[in-house]
Amino acid sequence: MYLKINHITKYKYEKPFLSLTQAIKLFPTNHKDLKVIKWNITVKNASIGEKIIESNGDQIVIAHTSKINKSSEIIVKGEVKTSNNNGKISGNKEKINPLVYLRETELTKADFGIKRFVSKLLLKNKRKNKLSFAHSLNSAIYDYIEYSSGTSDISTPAKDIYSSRKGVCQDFAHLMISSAIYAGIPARYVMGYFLPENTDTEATHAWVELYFKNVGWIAFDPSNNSSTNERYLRICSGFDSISAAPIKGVAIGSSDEELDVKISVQQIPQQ
Amino acid sequence: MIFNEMINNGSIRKPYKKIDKWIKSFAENSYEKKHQEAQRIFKRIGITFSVYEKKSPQERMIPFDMVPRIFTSNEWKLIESGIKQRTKALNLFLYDVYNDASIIKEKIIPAELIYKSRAFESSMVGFSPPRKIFSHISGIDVVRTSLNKFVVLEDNCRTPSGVSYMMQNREIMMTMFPDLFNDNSIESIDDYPVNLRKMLTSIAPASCKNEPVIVVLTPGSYNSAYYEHSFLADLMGVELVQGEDLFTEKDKVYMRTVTGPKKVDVIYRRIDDNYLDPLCFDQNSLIGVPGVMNAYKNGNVTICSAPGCGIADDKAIYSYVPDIIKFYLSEKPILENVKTWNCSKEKDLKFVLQNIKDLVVKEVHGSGGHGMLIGPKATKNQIKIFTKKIKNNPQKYIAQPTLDLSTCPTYTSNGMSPRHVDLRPFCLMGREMNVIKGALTRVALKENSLIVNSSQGGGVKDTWVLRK
Repeated sequence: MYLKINHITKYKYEKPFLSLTQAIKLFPTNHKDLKVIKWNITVKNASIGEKIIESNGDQIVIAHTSKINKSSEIIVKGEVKTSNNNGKISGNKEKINPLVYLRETELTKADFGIKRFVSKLLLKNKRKNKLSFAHSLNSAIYDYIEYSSGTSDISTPAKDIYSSRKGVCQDFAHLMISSAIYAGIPARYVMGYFLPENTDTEATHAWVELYFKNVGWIAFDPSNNSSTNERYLRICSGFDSISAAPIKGVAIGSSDEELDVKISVQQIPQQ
Repeated sequence: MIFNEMINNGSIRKPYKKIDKWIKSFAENSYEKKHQEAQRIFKRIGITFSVYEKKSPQERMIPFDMVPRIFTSNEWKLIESGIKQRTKALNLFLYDVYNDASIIKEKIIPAELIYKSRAFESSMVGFSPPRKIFSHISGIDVVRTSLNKFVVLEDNCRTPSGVSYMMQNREIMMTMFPDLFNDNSIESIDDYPVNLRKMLTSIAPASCKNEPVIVVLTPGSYNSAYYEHSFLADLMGVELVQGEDLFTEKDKVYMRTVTGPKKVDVIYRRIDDNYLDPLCFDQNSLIGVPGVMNAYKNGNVTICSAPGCGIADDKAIYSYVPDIIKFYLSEKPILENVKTWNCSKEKDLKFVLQNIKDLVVKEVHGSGGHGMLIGPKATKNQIKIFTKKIKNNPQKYIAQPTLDLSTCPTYTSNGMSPRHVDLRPFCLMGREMNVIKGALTRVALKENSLIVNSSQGGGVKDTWVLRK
């Protein structure tokens, strides 16, 4: 599938300030089922450093802008060709041992409720291998949580989502990571773009990857009860939404900021 | 039997003979006077450290004891070679766990122990720092348990502190008692700042063709070791900076100066990994330098010590250090470890719980003598609480036998009396490796106490290495 991405992130500030340094990871992952046709990032008035490939395969640049005059802007434009591999990630140049992803964070820590939820599911699936358990877990989370925006925010931990039973893709992902780690399966958070079936405008999306011995990393999307396919464009990963944030910034002397994001993911005819 | 470093089998040991005479030469009350004078000098220089108690830091002075701790050149040779061996092996270990991980593949150390530890910094995987050195400055704590036995209590591979006290202790002794230094042939420690600077110069990025610009990065004046940061910057003749004094542009690090930005090549940072770069580590850090990790990975600046060094001095890794030395150097450890039980192992846990009364229990991630239990000195209730803690989180604890730390005569309200001491020698590793011929001796001022940490009432002594 050919996908075209247009992603504009605009920050507006009340008054001018000294400087802004941003870490930007908005590059498609190098993996087998994702071919980049063109990809361009521009940051208004910034000087941009060399791209490096991080230990987990993410690509990152640092953009530095001095003397910001009330606004800044990151524009991502690109075209890629994706194919379906039932969620299997291969060819990503990552070097980190998967056991590292058995670490919990504040956002993915399992509480008693999550532990009981996972234990019950493990019991029900005790004759199955870890991979089929993961599929059951994916569906169980999809069934358990109601998709609802505005009920959680960027710092809502998995345990709160478990008790409120409401959330967005980020929350589904955190709960899935929390559950998988408790079941002894290395798990990580993935950020990327997604082309839904029914409409062709959608913001960035979050899903998860779980690691299985002798199989590798497999991607699941608990908010859509599916594995990933050619509609998914993988960008970056981390322990949770904070460590996988595609844009991080530190402003010196800034006032309040106002964020305006425009994203379009479209299917385009073969080039 | 506790080894007294000055008096062995009823007679004064040779290296201490002159000091014994010196102590006896004081007229009544004159020692007390000198002792007070020494404390006043410390206060005047302004050497204090902060103790974090009840959340607000308090400034305190470390009590200084005038009776020096003395080593013969042969004793020092042993310590020095042991420290060098250990520092070398730990650096090979660090490079390996962040690159090929052969020590894990060979099943010398369990994979989970490394990868699940928070001290293992996953963003450093695959990175090769200049000269493949991660830990450039080590401060390995050693205790003496008999005439010929020195054992390593713990490794400090990140940014060990205390070197400024070592230097000030000497300075004060030389000012107050210049004759002592004429009568005894003592190795000099003055060259530490020069050697530190040399080491930092030798690890500059390959792309740096001129004399590298070095800075000392401090969290600021509220940090407990701020005095040391400014002291070292001063003696090396380099700038002392805070995060806000530095910025990155196109993956290069610059220092703001009155004449405009100046490129920085080597950062001797005295801030923790987590606060180093808000774009890579803790996003809320206000004391770091945004973008410094990308500058580092692009080979435009060197960070000393490398992020992720903590995995080498993790208390859970400590018990594997003898295996680490054998694995990388094919040598027998020169300095032994203290026998250590890892409560994460079922067999060890059982032993620890049965023998907790006789053991010292430490938190794997604790430091400064906090969060530990000294079995023989603990009350029944303290033991009960600790037993529960260990049972709930066994992987968080290790245990060791109580050690007979050697004693050194120390001035107390009842005159000279033996007090337990430990030793922190400092080792630099750059193009060359060198251990300074002196160290920080910490002394537990309370009678029979084994806790030498300055935050818990420990004092310091000047430490002499005699020339041959």
